[in-house]
Amino acid sequence: MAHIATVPDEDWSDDAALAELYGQVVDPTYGRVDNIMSIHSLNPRGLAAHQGLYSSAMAGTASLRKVERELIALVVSLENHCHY
Amino acid sequence: MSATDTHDGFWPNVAASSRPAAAIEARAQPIALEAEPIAAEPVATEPVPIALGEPAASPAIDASSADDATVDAAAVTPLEAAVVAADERAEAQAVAPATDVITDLAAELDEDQRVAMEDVIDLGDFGADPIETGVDTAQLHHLPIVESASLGGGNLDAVRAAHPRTLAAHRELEAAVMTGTDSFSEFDRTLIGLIVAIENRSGYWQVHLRRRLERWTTVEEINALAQDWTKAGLAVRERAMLAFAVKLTLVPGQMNEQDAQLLNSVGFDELDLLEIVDVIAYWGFATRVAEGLGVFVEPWMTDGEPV
Repeated sequence: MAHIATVPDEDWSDDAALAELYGQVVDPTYGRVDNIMSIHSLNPRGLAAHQGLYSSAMAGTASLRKVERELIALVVSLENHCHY
Repeated sequence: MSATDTHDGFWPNVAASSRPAAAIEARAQPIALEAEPIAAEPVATEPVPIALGEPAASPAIDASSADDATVDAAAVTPLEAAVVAADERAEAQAVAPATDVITDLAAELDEDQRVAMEDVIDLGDFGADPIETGVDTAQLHHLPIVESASLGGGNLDAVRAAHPRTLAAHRELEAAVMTGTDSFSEFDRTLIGLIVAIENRSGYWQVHLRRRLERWTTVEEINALAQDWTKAGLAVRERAMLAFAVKLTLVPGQMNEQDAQLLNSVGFDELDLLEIVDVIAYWGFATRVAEGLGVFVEPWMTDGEPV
């Protein structure tokens, strides 16, 4: 359980800023918003900024593939003892 | 704002003593205890060259020689040395004083006691006793102000201009997290940045954030903060905030609910906590961008003085 409140997926449509962001952050496979994104839901501007940074950093290119970026993410998570 | 998830948190200002102690302990303990084996195993069992499908860069990291116990120690690559150093550092950090000190302090604080305890709780003692903590706190709070290989690279924006999309994303993230509010001022956000920069040995950001802090305070006071913020006369609220920042920077996997409760007990609310974490995370990101890309301090930031 998170240390702060979050807005449930089904209530994002009640908030204009969250409703606008929903399509950008929802996981298309599961049709749900991952917890790491919804933890920002009290601050939609911060949520949008994190999503923008994540998208720009993790989009694969010919010289640095997405799988390599994900591998970096995994190793950094291990070094930081981040279970999520 | 929409309805929010229910949670068993303590916001706002629910006394620590009203929460089930067993539940807190059950949540806090496994995080620290489980982190060690998970972090260690993949490094030993999954050689990076195999996972990447890349050819081995040297005999020392060639998968075909991974089982060869006679590998010459002199053939250890910088990468392997860095992995060993990271493991040693992680092991050392497992006993970082921040965990015990903050946990103990959080357990003692509640809303009714907070005002009275502001006068007696000395967060300045945070990590100050190497005998009790077992850690040389000189490594935590008395770091050189500028100690970085970054002081000879290239300007941050100039470096990032090669990738406009991430430059724009970086700038928007900074703007989003650094805008001050009534309960969490831009000064406090900038102060967090300086302390994170010091902990991360980022010379670039130490210089920049010192300059930013001059908007609110004197060079002498900034020097005192950078030298040892625990003894620089900060209010208990800001010292709790910085203690949280140091712990999250050094041992992120050891954060627990009590750390969050500490911030609540000194007057921060839920949104403040979210923003404090965002600010700490942003400066962790920004310092790694500067150091990872070899960014140097612009001459105009130091009036032409060498740094």
